[in-house]
Amino acid sequence: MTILLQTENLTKRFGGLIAVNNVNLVVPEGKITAIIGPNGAGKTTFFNCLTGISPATSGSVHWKGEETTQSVPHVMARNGMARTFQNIRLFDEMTCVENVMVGGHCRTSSTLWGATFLTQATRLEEKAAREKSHDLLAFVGLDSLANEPARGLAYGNRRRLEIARALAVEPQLLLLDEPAAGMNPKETADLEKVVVSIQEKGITVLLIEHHMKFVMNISNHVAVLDYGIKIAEGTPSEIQTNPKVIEAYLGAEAIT
Amino acid sequence: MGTLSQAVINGLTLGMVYALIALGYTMVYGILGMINFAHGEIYMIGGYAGATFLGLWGGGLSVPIALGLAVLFSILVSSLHGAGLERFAYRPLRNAPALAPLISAIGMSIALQQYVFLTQGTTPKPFPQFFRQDLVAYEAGIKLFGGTLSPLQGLIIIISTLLMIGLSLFVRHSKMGKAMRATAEDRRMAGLVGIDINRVILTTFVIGSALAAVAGVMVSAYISTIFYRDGYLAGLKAFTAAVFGGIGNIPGAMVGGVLLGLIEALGVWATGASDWKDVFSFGVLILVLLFKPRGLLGEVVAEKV
Amino acid sequence: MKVFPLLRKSAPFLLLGGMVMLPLILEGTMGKGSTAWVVAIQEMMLFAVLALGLNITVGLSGLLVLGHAAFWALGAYTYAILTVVFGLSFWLALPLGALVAALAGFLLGMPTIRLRGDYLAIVTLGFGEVIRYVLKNFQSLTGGDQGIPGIGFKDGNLQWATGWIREPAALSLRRHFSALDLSGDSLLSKSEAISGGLNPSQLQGIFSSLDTNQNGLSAKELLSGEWGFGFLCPSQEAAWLTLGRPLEMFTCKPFLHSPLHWYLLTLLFLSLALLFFVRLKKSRLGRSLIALREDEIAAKSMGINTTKAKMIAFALSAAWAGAAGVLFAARNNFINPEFFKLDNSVLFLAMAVLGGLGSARGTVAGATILWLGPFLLREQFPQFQEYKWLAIGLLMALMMIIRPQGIFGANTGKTRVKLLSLWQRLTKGRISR
Ligand SMILES: Nc1ncnc2c1ncn2[C@@H]1O[C@H](COP(=O)(O)OP(=O)(O)OP(=O)(O)O)[C@@H](O)[C@H]1O
Ligand SMILES: [Mg+2]
Repeated sequence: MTILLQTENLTKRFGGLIAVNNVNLVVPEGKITAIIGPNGAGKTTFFNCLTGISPATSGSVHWKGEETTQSVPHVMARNGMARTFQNIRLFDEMTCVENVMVGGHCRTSSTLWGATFLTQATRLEEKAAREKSHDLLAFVGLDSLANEPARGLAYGNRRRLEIARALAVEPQLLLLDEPAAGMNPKETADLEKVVVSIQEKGITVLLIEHHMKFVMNISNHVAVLDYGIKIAEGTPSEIQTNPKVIEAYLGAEAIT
Repeated sequence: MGTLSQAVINGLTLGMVYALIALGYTMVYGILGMINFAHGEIYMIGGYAGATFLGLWGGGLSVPIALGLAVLFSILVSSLHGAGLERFAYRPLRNAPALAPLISAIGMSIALQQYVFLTQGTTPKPFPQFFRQDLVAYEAGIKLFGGTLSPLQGLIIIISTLLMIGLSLFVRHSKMGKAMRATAEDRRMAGLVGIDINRVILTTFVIGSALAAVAGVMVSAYISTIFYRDGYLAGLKAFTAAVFGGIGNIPGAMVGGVLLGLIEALGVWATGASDWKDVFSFGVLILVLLFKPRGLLGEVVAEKV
Repeated sequence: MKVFPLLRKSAPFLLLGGMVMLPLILEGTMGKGSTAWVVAIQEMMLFAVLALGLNITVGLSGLLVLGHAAFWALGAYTYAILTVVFGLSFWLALPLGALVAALAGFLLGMPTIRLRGDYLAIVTLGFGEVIRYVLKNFQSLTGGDQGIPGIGFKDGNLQWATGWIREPAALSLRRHFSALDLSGDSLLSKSEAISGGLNPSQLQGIFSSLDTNQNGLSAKELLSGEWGFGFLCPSQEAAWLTLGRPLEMFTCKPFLHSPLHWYLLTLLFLSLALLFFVRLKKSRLGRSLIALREDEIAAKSMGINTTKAKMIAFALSAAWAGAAGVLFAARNNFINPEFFKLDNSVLFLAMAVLGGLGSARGTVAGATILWLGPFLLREQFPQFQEYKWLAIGLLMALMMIIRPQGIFGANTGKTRVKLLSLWQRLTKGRISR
């Protein structure tokens, strides 16, 4: 088992609040790892520390053996870490395919010069990027909407577009922040398939999700956060029976 | 060029005025997160209103009463303009993308300026002179460390201080003040707990405009004219003051205003280059943004992702 | 239905052709009065370039810049100073002015680009004012309030350029006057000139301004003197005769200062700016700028170095303004700090906003409305001038409220869909419901 990502005593403070508290987590390559926990547990904040959007206060992040604790988002994306957002962040005025093409930004290289004089290399790269983006849209089932502006998309489609955009980064690790939130059972089932086939492509997945059935169905490994502290970790079945976890959720309907 | 203490006195006077205007910027920014570019124009309109009132009706009244009524009148006029601005130019854009209200504000700033220009004429309007002699004369002033504080300067400093204390108390203790702070904290949440957001925002604009109006009357009395272009530069400096102190932060605006006034006056005093006076403020602005972008008293607010 | 894409593809060229012919059409219909129009349209096109440059920052990248006129000023003063002092050629000054402005943009951007959008607006506004103060107060170099007069269009002072230009000049002379000895001092008489193919009105242009004692021009004078070979196009009308030989047209001296010359040059300039803008918008870089505008955090997370992208946008925008400044200084012959006031920065912004932020067509439309509109109204209603700024200000606010995407803004897609469905309904014969 190769370790793709590892955190050691990762901590994030907002003033007096400790949103992430000494979290140690290992993300093995090729697996689906899930992070669950009640609202405000610090899951999203944990993602933000990993991706450099708001770097940790203390502790460390190691990406493929190298320390990246204080790295910045665009470098992490180039390193192969792509993410989606809990409160969907699409480029609303752009079409779906353009959204995905932006995801491919760091895997293309055409310059201002190329754009101005429309060089052969730029045209070829542009064409290839467009085709690849269409493929990714097809992968998440949005190919028919490729030229629609992102603004008008239905909720479930917006989530899927975000996944396609993140995949365009050609990540080794895909971070999904509540991908099933707001989806109906059918959409959730479809999403399960998408996430599994992402894993089959060889991409490691780290996901945050409240939807327990979804988590238990597809994850190889689950970690539980509560008030910023990792209170449990294990296989889905271990987590389901862990008394600490049940207590954290206060018998919420979630664990069924 | 005068003595150091004279420079301090003049700077303090000016700084108080910057602070009053800066409060309007900072309050609106705190609540709406936008720069009200037209705020300088509200200040200028206040100056015009005061001068017009005194010119028309100030003749028969005793000086304090005339001045008081003029200030009240200009508060009324400026507040109406400020409220109209909020209601018609900004409220429709409250949930629009960030650039929209800014551009609307710039447009309104130009429009207001031009409307004053069209109605008030192309030349600076002299501030009525009938009572100024004794107020402005340095001979009547108090000697302080070799400088002189003229009665008008003293008045400006006193009135500004009182207004700032009043505002602080209002924001801290009154019901509306609390509602304002809640709205600044989280507008949606404040709406959910039953605060009438529209009223709070309107009140913010009215208070900001009123403070600017007082500043407008005091400054036009102080420099004895008012001109339709005056609002722009004063607005820019007051904004600098607000940023200096930490935009969105009320004590910050006060501190920033006073400091900016002092920096400007001392800069001119030290270099003797009054031509470059305005450049000092922009220099301050750029330096502050470079080294302390949240201002002196501002807090770090990270955007939630 | 195949007509549509064809029409779409050729539309820019048709439009360009139309714009080239426009002065001729105007002259045909209004005679002498057309010059004012040619000048006004030329100015409009120059402002469109400025608004287009501003649209790179404001429209594409969502960075509100309020000091665009400062970059314009930097280009203008760069050319004015260098050409007056060192006789720098216009064509060299064009990229140089752009470079100076871009550098200034870069220097200003470095500390400020990380700031929130509204801070940036104020800082750039302050920058615009500082530049203007410097221009006003740095008298020894900029002439202060008096500005720099007599700038002109200098392009012949470099050796390579003169050689390059003279070659075709000699050719052209030989074509017209085969008998003339080009190296000697023999004179070209009126009758010779007429038989050489010049028409009487052109001759008047040449000879009326010459010493009356002199009966003609020597070939040497023609080639190297103050007149160059200006006799080929002494008037705007004659310039048309040489339209087929663009090089000659752009190098003969009287033409260089004619409104038509500036019109055509500016048209070329605007066409290039438009081409650049459209290509930029569709490119990888352009997409990264738009992504930045739409959602900075998402853009970062997709691997876009947002700081770098912003700097590039800033520098590009400034560069176009700088080049426009060079053109303006050369055309206007005179510049002073008044031209580069905040008013004009706001005017450019209004042009970009009115037509639609981020839209090339829209920017041209905005410039047309805001420059030619007042020009038209000035003729009909002289008192309108007073209300111009009031109208512009209100229009900006109104536009944001009613149609924030501008006339040609992003939502035109929907309008097109609407038109298309209407078209389909009409062609399918279901005209009434
Ligand atoms: N930028 C910030 N500034 C201050 N506090 C923050 C910030 N971001 C998050 N917090 C706080 O940190 C805590 C953890 O928030 P976080 O969004 O990480 O929780 P979460 O586990 O993702 O919750 P949810 O399931 O609701 O998405 C919360 O109390 C939140 O209010
Ligand atoms: Mg979350």
